[in-house]
Amino acid sequence: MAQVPEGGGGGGGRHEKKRAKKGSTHIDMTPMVDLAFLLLTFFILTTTMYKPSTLQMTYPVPPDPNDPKPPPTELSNAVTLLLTKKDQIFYYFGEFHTADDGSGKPPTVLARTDFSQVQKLLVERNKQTVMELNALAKEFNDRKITEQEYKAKRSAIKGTPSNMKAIIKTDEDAKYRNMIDMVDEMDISGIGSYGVLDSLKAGERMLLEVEKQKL
Amino acid sequence: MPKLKMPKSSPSLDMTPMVDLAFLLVTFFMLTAQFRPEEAVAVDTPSSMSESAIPTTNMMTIVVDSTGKVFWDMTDKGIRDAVLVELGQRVGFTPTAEDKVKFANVGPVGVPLQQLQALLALESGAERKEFVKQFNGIPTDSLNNQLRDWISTTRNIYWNASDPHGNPVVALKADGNTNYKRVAEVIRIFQSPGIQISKFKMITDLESSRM
Repeated sequence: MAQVPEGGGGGGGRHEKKRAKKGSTHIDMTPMVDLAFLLLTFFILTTTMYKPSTLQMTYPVPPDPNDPKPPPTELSNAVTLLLTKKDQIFYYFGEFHTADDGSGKPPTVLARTDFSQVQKLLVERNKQTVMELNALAKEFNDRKITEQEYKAKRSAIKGTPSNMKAIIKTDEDAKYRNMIDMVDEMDISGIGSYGVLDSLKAGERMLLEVEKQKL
Repeated sequence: MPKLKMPKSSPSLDMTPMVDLAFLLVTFFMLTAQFRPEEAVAVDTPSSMSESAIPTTNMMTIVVDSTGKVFWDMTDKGIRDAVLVELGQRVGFTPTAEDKVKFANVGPVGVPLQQLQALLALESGAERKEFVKQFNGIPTDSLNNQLRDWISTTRNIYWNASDPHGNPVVALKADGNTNYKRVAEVIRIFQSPGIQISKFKMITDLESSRM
């Protein structure tokens, strides 16, 4: 029933014998190369360089209720940034004043900006520090100072009391991304001391609600 | 006119160097590739300019996804085992060796403690993903704050270890589109009495250029 081809086998056998005598070691490498390149292509295409980085955050330790209250922070050179919906930022400089708080100062008005503009605004406002930091970075790049010195001097410049401060406040519509972007901007514009809060003062909230209506 | 003569030799060329190179590259990619573990939760982290690299061991990650669900993750297998045993006790669940192996590989965990056993009974990643969807992550409400339990248990295991390796690195991995309010709630849990973590890392993507 089933037939085993014989004639071909015999002929082939004679052929193989002949070949073995000649001893040709050439093998066809094409399939192997095909396979190698297939694998190579697969790995190259599926490899993604996934490189997450981290942002070190240090939050203040909540104060002990028994401790005396620390003196209020000097806010005259501070900017308060209110982050809200649609990636919008409202900000004011200095302390918050309302028309009838008895300080005699003009009431605070919120100005509006967004993430494409805020960097320019902060760098402009903090020009002196940014210039100093850039000069320092240049010195470091020219290998005039060591990395250690660079870091120490950098934080010294940023920590100067007269340097600009920032308070970042978010309302319930702000996204986490907004806050990270803002913290990034702090680094770019050389603001060393900043705080992140997720609550607004009543007065700020009132002003912000008015502004949000216009968005 | 002279006839143009084609060379008679066969057009085959020596492919050995090319094959060598191809296999070298294949080997390199195969050995260096790490298959990304099945993501139990999709998180699109925001980008930042920070360049400090992420540690690969001793890191506890609290994941917040875009809907505000909270997950717990830990890099080290041994610690994961210990945490599972410790937290399992509270809900009367004694994990088997098989459960432990599964738990080591599930990645971020985001179910109430009472559901841990049911989660580990499931076989495939897809099933687990479907199962996790029913819940709101690890409960964080003030009456039933299980996130606190996860964090404090993890830290206690570090502190009570026979060779103390100090503290785990705490990382917060939140989706860029999460409301900051939700992230702030998690940070408040970090800072609450009994936990008091005020230094932690926020996981971000490295931003290529924005200057």
